[in-house]
Amino acid sequence: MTDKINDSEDFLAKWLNGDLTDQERDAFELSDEGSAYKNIISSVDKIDMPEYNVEAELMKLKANRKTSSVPETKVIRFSSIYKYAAAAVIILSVSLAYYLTRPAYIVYETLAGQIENITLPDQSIVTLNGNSRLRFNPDKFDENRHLLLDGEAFFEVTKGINFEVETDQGTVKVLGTSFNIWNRNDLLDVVCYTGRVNVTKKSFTKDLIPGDGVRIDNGAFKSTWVKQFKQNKPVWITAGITELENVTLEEALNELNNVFGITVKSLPEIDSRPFTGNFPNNDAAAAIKLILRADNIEYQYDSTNKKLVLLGIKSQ
Amino acid sequence: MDSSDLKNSCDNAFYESLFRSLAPTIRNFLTYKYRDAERAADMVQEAFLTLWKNCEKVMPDMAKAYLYRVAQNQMLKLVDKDKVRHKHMPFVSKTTHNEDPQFQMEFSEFDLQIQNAINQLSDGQREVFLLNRIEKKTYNEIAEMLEVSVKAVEKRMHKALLKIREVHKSI
Repeated sequence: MTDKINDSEDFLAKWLNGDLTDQERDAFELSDEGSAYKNIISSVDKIDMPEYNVEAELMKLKANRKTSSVPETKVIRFSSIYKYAAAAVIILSVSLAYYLTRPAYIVYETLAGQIENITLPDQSIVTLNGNSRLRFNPDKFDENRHLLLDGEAFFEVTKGINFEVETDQGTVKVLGTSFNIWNRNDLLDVVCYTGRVNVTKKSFTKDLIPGDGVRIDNGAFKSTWVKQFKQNKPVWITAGITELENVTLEEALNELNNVFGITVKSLPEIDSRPFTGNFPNNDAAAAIKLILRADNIEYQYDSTNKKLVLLGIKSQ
Repeated sequence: MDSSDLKNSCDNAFYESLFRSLAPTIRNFLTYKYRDAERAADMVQEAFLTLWKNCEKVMPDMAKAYLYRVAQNQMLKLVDKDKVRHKHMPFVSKTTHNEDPQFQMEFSEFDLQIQNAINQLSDGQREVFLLNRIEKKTYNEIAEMLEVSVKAVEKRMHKALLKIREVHKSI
């Protein structure tokens, strides 16, 4: 009997839980070992924990709650109000001056998850992905096809004069063609789908032919790659999929914001981890899982308020 | 109480009912592992205070897991600082009569030996063993609480009993 117990990993647990067969149980309980264990259990069953006074503890908690959350009182001196007033006057007049003299841009802006098709005056078509902004000056568009982009867009450009898209990370010049620009935070990815595209940033310049991709990170050339695609449009348009390659988790989480409008509270130690992968643009829960599950990151997701809070990395 | 309508844990009635239902269990849970009932009670206070401060971020159905995690983390921080851990389990005997604590079972010499053996279990074994024996949690419930498999709980139970028997035999 002793051997049987020692050889097993869970015999005693099963016995205690009533999981043994009647035969096994009777044989065990009638043995010397069995009765020793029975005595141990009946001794343990006399044990209790010292009293815990819930109501008293709750009173204590409420008292602590008050003292630990004393609201901060803010003293604003009268003179500082003048400072603010003066600052406000300056800001207002500067913005008014800018408003009156600025070029009459047409601005297209999309919300998270919203995709908009835009036809430009020259019949070129722009597909603007979520959380992105495209501007151009229609008065001068005939002589200079110049656009400003913040976010992601796919361009199908009609033949004609120079076509330029400026982002804060670099300028893409087009030589008649279709291409995708992904510009989020410090990263700029340009992929050429048909024709030829030229990417310029300061001294760096590169011509792309169909399938070529180039990445500019924080204003500097980072890498090039060759992309295989079945259709001559990006998958975010054809399949509703967001593709991310060699980005940080911070970027990936930022895409969740662009596609689903989710606000993310991340942790610094998680932000810098690398991420490569895809997620569907119609299923927020699945997208979050795909991004975070691989790294065993624990999180809470509140789908009503679209809030995602990362809690940390689950220890193995 | 029905918490399905609440977006976060800032509702006072919800918060209080949470305290009444969870505080005793969390306090016992911490005591089983770390053998210090007073400190465990303090950590329950800390955990609920932290929940209150962050109540906007914590959804009601996450509150329970949140409390366990915060309480345990706090406890771990303190336990690390205490180099010497010669705490003994603060066991008391069950009252046989609900109204009158006079009618307490008396511990025999044998009982005290068993309790001494329980003190010598590893933290993990003691935690599982007492959650099952005193708190009357099923193996399933314990596995869920500790985020381990049911199999792991059964192994710890088995080992805990073996060890108690062994320690007791050698006395």
